[in-house]
Amino acid sequence: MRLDWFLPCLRISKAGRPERPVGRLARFAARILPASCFSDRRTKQRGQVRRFLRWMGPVWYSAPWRRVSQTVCFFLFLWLFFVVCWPYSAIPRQGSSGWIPVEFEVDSRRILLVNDDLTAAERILSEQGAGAQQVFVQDPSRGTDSELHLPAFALDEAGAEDSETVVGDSAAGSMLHLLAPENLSAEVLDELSLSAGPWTLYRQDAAAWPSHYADHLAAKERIAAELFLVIDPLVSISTAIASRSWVWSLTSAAMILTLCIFVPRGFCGYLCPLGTLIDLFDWLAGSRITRFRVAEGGWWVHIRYYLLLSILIAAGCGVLVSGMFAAIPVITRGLLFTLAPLQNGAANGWYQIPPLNGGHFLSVGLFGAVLMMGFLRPRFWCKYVCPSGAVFSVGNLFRVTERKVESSCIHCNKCVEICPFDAIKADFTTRTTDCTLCQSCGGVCPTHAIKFVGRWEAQGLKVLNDPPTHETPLGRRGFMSALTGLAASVTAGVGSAAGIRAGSVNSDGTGSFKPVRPPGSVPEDKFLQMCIRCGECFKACPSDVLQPLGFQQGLDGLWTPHVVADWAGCASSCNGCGQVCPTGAIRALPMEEKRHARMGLAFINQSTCLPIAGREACQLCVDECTSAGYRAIEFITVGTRTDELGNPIEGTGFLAPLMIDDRCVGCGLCQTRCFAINVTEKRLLTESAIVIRAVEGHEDRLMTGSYR
Amino acid sequence: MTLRNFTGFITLVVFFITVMLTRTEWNIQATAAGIQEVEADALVLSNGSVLKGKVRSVEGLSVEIEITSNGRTLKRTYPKDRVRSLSIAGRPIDLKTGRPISADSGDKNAMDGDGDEDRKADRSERDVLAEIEELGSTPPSWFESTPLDYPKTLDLAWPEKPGTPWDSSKNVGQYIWDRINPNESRWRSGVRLIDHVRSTSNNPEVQKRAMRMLGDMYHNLHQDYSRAAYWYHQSGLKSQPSLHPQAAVHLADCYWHLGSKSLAMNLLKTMTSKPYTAIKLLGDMGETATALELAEQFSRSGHAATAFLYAGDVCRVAGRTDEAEVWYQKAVEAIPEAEAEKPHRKRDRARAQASIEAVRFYHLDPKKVKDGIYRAGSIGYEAEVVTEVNVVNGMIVSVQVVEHREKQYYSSIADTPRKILRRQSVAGIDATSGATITSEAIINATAKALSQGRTDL
Repeated sequence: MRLDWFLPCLRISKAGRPERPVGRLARFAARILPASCFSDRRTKQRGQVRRFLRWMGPVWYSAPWRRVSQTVCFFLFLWLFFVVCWPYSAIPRQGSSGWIPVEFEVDSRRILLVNDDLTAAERILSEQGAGAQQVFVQDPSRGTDSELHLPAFALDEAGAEDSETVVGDSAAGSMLHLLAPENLSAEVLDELSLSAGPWTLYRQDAAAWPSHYADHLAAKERIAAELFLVIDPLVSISTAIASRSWVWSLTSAAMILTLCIFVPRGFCGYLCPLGTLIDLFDWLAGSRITRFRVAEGGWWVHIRYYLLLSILIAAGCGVLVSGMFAAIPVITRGLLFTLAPLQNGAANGWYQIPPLNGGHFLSVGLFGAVLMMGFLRPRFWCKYVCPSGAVFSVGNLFRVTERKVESSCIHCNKCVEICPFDAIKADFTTRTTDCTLCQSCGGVCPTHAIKFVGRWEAQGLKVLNDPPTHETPLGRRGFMSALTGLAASVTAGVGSAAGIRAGSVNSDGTGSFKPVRPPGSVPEDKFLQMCIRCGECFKACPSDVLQPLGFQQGLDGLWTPHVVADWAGCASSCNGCGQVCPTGAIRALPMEEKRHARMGLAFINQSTCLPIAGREACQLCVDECTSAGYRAIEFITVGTRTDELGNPIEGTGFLAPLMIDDRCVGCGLCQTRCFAINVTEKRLLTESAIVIRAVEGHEDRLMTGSYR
Repeated sequence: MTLRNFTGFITLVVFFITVMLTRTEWNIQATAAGIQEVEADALVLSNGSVLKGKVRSVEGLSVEIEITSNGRTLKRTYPKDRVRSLSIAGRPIDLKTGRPISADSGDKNAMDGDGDEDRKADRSERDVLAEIEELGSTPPSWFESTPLDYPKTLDLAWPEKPGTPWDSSKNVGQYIWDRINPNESRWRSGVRLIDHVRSTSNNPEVQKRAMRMLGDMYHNLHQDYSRAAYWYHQSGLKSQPSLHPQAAVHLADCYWHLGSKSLAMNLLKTMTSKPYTAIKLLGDMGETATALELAEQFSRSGHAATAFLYAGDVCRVAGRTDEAEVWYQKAVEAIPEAEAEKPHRKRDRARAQASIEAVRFYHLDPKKVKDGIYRAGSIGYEAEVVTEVNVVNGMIVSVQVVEHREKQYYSSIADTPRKILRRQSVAGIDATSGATITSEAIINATAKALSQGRTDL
């Protein structure tokens, strides 16, 4: 698959051939592009195109489709991460304001509305996402607490046509004809008869539960945001083993593994964004600093198998450590802790970046180490360490295609030099568990001796072990080293499982640190076994309500999401974390369910809360809870003075918050507000006077079933 | 020409000149009447709301009326069965024929709508009492669907003297004060609870107290005057108003809102001592002199400051701003030194001072205000209430409360700006009953905001 096979204009002309470009496309290109793009055939000077390709590297030249696939996947990954999981472009439901009801006929139920804004009618008619031809009306002057709920009005089609002509003629504004439903209640009739507006019109029910964050994510998520996480087979296999339950992303893992029967280890060569990033790093830095280079072979070449085995053994013991090493979680978390804060800071202000903890540094350190391995050898991580790659290497045993070398091989060694995975032995045949079918070798082979064909095709192949490879067959030494590795990995797996279990301060669950988990999280033991610690939920979470746990819960809870309500509260219109979770540790709840899923319960500090302590009037938490729609905090009058007869004196005392526990979902909006105003801004308190806690009986942790 | 003749001539001339002058005066008067706007047509709907505008047709089964509001003409069509009465150019119209009714048979009172939304047009005492009996005795539409939820610790025997300390989880009255009154969402279940107490108690004293409480709740919280009056009647308040003076003033307020000033005045007259809340009611009813007299009676009591504040408001509503300022000043001075630091006293003081600040601007004509958006604040129940006023071509086109922490009495947040818009002035706007402090804050803030753009300085 050489580029010059497809673009003959790149070929160097042979003596005696005419010197004009070959092919219609090339001739057209020669006419419109400057001459400097093309090579000078007489002086053999390279043109800009060839110089650019040389600068890009030999692989672009020899295996362009692989590079194209890598590029597409890498940008797709970045797009999913930075654009789809970017919640801040969601806009709350907005109505069209300023509508004056100028005519209302009770008999025909027709209403004529006008608006000074010429384009208002057009905009409301063309608004996207509106289902039926319905309009919802709100009278803002009545206030948001109004009991009056106006019904949905039908758009009067005949009227809409009229309006266009009227608008055109008078240019006074927009007009809209609505048809009220039958059987209007007396209150609604009065509003329609007496109100002089202005009204605000909505295409969706303005009184319905808000869902703009959820809608926004759903609209952008044409491709699942967690796509790359679910096609990393180690993610789903290890979580399924650890939690001993069906993980839905196993289907994606099965699909990608099936695909890799036909393109052995194609995931590593063609899809993996971490591999592409390592390629970029190697090209930028690794290729320049060579003093740390190590030899091709060494004790490290099979680390990935032992690592995989350890991870699976640990998973078998019910402890999930794959998140530390699996390819896609590593890059997701790496970007999350490095570039995502920059994106957030640049777009929303630098104060919006939550503080870091030890877990952050560990993750960034690991991510850095993965890249730095490029100094040892190009794609050292992918070749020798990556346990996800090891899954595919094992999968390669079932391959149906492979790389074959024909007898026309001239032993020029070009393929060995270009192979990014060290998958070519000294005799130029293939290490089948390493080869990613990237086809770079085929592109550089001067005799076209390398074929990518069916596994069992065996015609005209090169003789094996010529020149000799000096590789050990599985003899006594090989067996011994494999045994040592196996023993090491079993020890590591069981040891890490036991260590993490022992280090987990929460294992007995008595009075220890109990984090508030995102809404829809499965029960805590299952949660720790299913959460892959990829960090995707943090990225999708507006204003960083969810933040990674450090070592508060021991190693067991490292990088798992918990609600930091001092920082922000869970938006009532968002269900993002569950939608992007690749393993189902946070269930993908629809808004109807999410609004009922309880994360915890708010507790009011009876000694510091400002009105309860008699310091000053404050109703921040009540306002916040009411406007979010939960109405879980009510007023109670405290500190009322009584006169001689024991009757209360009007105007004495304060209104203080009172929890209605049944209604609280533990979103933490109240705590956020109290902390932001009373602690940070006014410095009246040292900690929020209302805090959410995950407490038994007030936390819904279900594997299946409804929260309502 | 003889002197006699001359005198006669002079007399004649004087007569003619007098006649001429008089005629001219007539002419002037006639011209003035011509300039004055023809009295607007008025449509009274069956719910008591009054619409003023230009009636376009009274034909068939519906009435079509054009209303001018905020410089816009709105057209409304009503079926005749929803119209209580109609007048065109001040003359009552027979809905069936569409012709004027002869003067003696007309229901003149029905035409008098001063745009006060929450007050019904004047009616006869009989009509009002009939409505109280008919409508007031029925439970509201939400009653059945409202759950009866109250803490099980509540002592439904409701002893007259609750023991100390204050315990709102035990004492009904304190539960109402602490938990029901501050939460709008509980107002309905509060009525449900008290009705439950009323219907289950065997103690006639408790039953009466529950009925008065029902009256208080319908009046203060729900602004449902006919039901409030009904329960006050049931409790026997009418025969002994002085026993429960606050409730009696509420009952009088119900009468006034239902359209009968005479019932209200009669009730107040039978009271031997009136509480200071009667000052506001008297003021609202236009009895400014009586109201101020009453305020004066409080000057030696502990409630002097509050009474003077009300008196100031009465003067303000009546348009006597100079006097209002004096009353507010007196209110500040009347706060006893010893209590000046108590929170409710501080609040009174702040209110009085805010009113003094704003009172000078009450009569500011929006025509003398430059176009623009103005913003100002004034002290409310909990904190500053900030309003934003938009003036275009000498008209107030919008008044919005942009900042407030008055959760308790939300009705005035929408209601008072509407009244200001309709009247195009802050003068003479009475406070929404039950939300006096918030309404006042809105009025004061609006006046102060308008003053920022005045051109007559």
